[in-house]
Amino acid sequence: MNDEQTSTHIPEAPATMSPAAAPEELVLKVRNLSVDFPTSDGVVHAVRGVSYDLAPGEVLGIVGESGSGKSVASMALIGLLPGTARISGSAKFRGEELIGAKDKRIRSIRGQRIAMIFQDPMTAMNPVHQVGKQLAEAVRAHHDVSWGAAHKRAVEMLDLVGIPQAKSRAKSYPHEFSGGMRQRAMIAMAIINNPDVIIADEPTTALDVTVQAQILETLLQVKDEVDAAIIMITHDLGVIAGMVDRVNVMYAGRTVESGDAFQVFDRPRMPYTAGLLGSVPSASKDTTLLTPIPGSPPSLVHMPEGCPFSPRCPLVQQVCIDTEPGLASTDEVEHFSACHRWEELVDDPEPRLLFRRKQVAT
Amino acid sequence: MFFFIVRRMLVSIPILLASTFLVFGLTTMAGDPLSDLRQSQSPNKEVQIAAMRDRLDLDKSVPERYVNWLKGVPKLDFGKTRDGQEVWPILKQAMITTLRLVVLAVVLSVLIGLAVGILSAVRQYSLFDYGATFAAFLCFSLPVFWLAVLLKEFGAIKFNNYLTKPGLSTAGIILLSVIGGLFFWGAVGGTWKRRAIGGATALVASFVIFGLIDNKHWLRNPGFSRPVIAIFAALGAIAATAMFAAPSNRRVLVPSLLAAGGGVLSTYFLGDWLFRPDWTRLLLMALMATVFGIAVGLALGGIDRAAAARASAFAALFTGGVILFDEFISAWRPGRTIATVGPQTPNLKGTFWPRMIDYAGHQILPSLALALIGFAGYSRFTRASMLETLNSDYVRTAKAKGLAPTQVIMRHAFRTALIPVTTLITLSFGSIIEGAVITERVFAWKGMGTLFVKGLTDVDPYPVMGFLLIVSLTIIFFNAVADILYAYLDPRIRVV
Amino acid sequence: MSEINTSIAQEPDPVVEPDPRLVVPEREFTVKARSQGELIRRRFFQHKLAVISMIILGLVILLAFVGAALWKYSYSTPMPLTNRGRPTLDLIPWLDGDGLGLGNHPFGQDQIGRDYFALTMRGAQRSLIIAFVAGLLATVIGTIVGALAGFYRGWVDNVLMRFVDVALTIPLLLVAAVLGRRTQSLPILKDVFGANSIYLLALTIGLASWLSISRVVRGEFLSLREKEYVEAARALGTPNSRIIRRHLLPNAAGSIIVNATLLVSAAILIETALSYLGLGVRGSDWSLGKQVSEYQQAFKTRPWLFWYPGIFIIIIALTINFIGDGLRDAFDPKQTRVRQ
Repeated sequence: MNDEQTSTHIPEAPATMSPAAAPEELVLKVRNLSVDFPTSDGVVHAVRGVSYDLAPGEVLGIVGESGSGKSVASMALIGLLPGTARISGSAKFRGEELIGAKDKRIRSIRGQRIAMIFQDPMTAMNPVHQVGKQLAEAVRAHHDVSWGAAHKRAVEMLDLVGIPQAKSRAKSYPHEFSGGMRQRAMIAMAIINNPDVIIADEPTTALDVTVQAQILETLLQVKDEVDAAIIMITHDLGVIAGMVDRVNVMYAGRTVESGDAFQVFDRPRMPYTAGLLGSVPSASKDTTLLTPIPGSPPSLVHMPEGCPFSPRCPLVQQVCIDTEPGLASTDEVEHFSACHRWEELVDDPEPRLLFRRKQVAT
Repeated sequence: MFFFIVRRMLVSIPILLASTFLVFGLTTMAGDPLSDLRQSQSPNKEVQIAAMRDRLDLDKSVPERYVNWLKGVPKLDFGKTRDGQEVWPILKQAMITTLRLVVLAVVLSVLIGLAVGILSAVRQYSLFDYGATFAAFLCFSLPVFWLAVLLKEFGAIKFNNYLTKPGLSTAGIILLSVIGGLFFWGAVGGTWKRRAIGGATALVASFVIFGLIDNKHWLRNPGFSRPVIAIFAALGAIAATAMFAAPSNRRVLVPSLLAAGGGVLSTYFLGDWLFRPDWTRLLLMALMATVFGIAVGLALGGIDRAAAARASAFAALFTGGVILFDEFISAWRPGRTIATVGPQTPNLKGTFWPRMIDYAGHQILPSLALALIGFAGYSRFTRASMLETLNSDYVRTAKAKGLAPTQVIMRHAFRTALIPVTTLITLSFGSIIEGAVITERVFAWKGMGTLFVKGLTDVDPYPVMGFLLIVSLTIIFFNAVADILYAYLDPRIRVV
Repeated sequence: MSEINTSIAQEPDPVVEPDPRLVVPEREFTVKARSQGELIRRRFFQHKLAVISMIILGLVILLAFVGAALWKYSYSTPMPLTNRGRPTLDLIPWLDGDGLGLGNHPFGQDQIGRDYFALTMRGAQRSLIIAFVAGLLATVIGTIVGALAGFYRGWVDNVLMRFVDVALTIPLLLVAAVLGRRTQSLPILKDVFGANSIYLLALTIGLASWLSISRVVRGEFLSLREKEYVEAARALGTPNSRIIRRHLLPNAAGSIIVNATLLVSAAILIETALSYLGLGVRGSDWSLGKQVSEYQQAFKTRPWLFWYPGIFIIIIALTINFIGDGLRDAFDPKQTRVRQ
């Protein structure tokens, strides 16, 4: 039926998605990743054909609201989804296929080559084991060393992420740490085996704003220390702005815009991105009422045929309702957008104000 | 910690006083101890009435009698029964009897309940889970004494008939093999293929084993030969390695196997100690086994010394257990072993093992009755607790670190799930003692429960008070233990 | 600052509208909007065992009350023994060749010839009454005490919980013995209860069981009272009684109902135990527990006298337990499904 067609009929992303990196050097090569969850209400198409590349040392941001599929897509890479999930497509880590790989192989990659940091540091650590022990455990899971050696490495890492008195702190329990320190410890746990990719799933959402900046800075520091690429998943555009090389905007399970962070922010080529940028409260002189994007995201069970954003889009045309646009090149280099009407945004001097203006469709 | 305990004791005293006073009052209200004497036709009725009145201080008021009783407690003078016997010696004997009954029941139900609960949670919605759930609910819904009567009939009378000429019919072998296969099919996880292979191997293995058992008429004269003991010992060592580290970890496996081997070798020179032991010798042997295991583990474990020591100690003790079990079953002869009256055969003589067989025969049914009901609660609760931890964020982190599934379950999910379960176990001691009341009645064990019921029906206040005091003290003690255990297991609530 | 004021005073920018000539299709929501009660009911009916149990329990209740009334024999009339009192229930048609049938005495007869089916149904009636009355009583008392202790905290909580602690140490058997004895000696109690000692027994069991449920309710109220909507209600000046009634009780209802069902099933088993010890149903009154206790010796010669009442006890307790489990899943589904 229509659902099946939708995921296959989006054209594959063009091969040159990553700047100046030959395919063999890519750390991650994701093509047409799709994740479906059968539920009692129908099949939920959480991820519908996502493709991207990740170069070594690159920081890729994935932006989207809740339900856009950003977390699910990343968890699918390292096999952390429940057994009921149906994953299809390809995700190659340094040329090795992750989707459908053997459990043992995935387990050796998880935590060692690809590490993940989760949102809530309060609950992410086991309350009955010491922090140092939990970090040492991550080492021993992949290397045949003694507890003593692993513990030493754990203390080193805690020190690296800026936890004071790391040696004695390692003997404390998670509930004795503050929220920011806990997240630092989680970062330490993620980098302890020198991974090639760190997936950070909303790492700062549960923290105070002041602590957020520190954590992001720590992340960037350690990235250079261990030479890792980062996938930063967030719904907060501010987090993206300061940190990220490239950004993918996701909506309703697909990437709808992708490109260099500065380009996408300054010259978006997709109305959804424009709407996102326009809805952020600004501390500048621009003092008017906030402009949200009206409406809500579509049901991931009953996906209609055309562009999922069309009910809310001010630039909507009949072609948008009929056919779902594929991710295609725009006027700028390495800047892709899934929109039939992206050209409308080229000449727009203030794309952020798109939703505020009245548009007469042509 | 010390002050914590002291504070608990102090708080409990007024509760104890209040409850003992209430119970005393209620017991005296429950009836008149002289009622049946009054109706008796005996010629020296008046003398007997006067004697009883004197014994039980019936002339004095209730509060006075209570205070008198209370004064005697520190001196271990719990008053006298209606017939003039001292309560304390009777109480002491009853306590030992009930303890024997309860301890075995609790150990059985905890071990099986925990194991089933963990497996049910990990293999949720599998055949095993449904089966275990149904079994647990069924045990919950059984009236204790109805179960006990049924056990007496089928577990004793009919089973004893079988025990006089034990053997396995072909149908029996096939049935047991099928059960073995199904169990492994449910317990092993993973894809259909893995489960089918597991189930099929178990089926074939069971068939072979049970076939051999029947063929050699093993059941008529049970016992393990040394090679068989060695096989069990090796399996125990492998299991220990899997539990305390990973099954393929050579640094732990080798010392464990050596410890197990050492245990098997010990049968060559421990001869008489095994054949005619007493409790001291048994304790010494257990100690030696543990020390030996730890030593081997520490010596050969390399960087995994700690885990190796634990696994080796476990393996050594397990091997010891297998050897002792062999001695135990070797002492058995076909006959009507299962008994339903009392804790042992009166005036029993014999060496250690035959006596043990007798005790076991008497104890298995009542403890089983109690254990079945306890197991239901523990397995359900463990399952619920495990489900909660398996769903938690830190288990997800553990998986994200790349830990092996067994380690995720044992070191993270189970460890945290254990906390509420231990409090459940410690707190349920009280209700087990009450459940024991019925079981003691059915199987004619003269324990605390019988004492209590007899005291109630005969309107004999002092044994009832004795029972209550012991039970209350036990409950208070176990409540305190529960709190302490909780603090030990959960660092979050260790308030200095 | 002044900029803000002027900009607000300005005419607000017009809102965007798409081309009215386009027909944008109506989007469905992923899930139907459902009320809380509907959701609970839906989850309950997904629990197959609970639904089956409900049906079976309903059948048993129907059988015990209506079926017995319609049955041709009364439970108290001795009759001549046919077939030495063996049951005539024939469920497996081909084994006996008589076909599916009930016969005259489907559950057989006891030693003096009373129809056992009628007797068992009478026992089931009485036991069901005991269990539900005891359960109701315990739930009401326990909820009140627990709610007060959990809501008001402070000295109210202390006093009530100390009382519960003490009461917990008093063995149920003792209370049952005392109350049982007293009916013989105190005429007032004898008048009220007399032949209907099952109500006295229900009272006893209820008085013993409310303690555990009061602890549960107290726990629930202790945590619920910290919720934001309670704070909001208090800020609006809502009187305490209303807060308890409209906010706390409905949210604690799930826990209470689940525990109440467990209580009812426990009550049946307690009644059996008490009757076995002679402290349960007394006198001429009847119950399944008394029935099992009376005929335990007959097990060797007339096993049906022991099986049937026992099986009914198990069926009643088991179905109630499964229903309780289904209710627990329905009220708090988070507990059941594992993430992976």
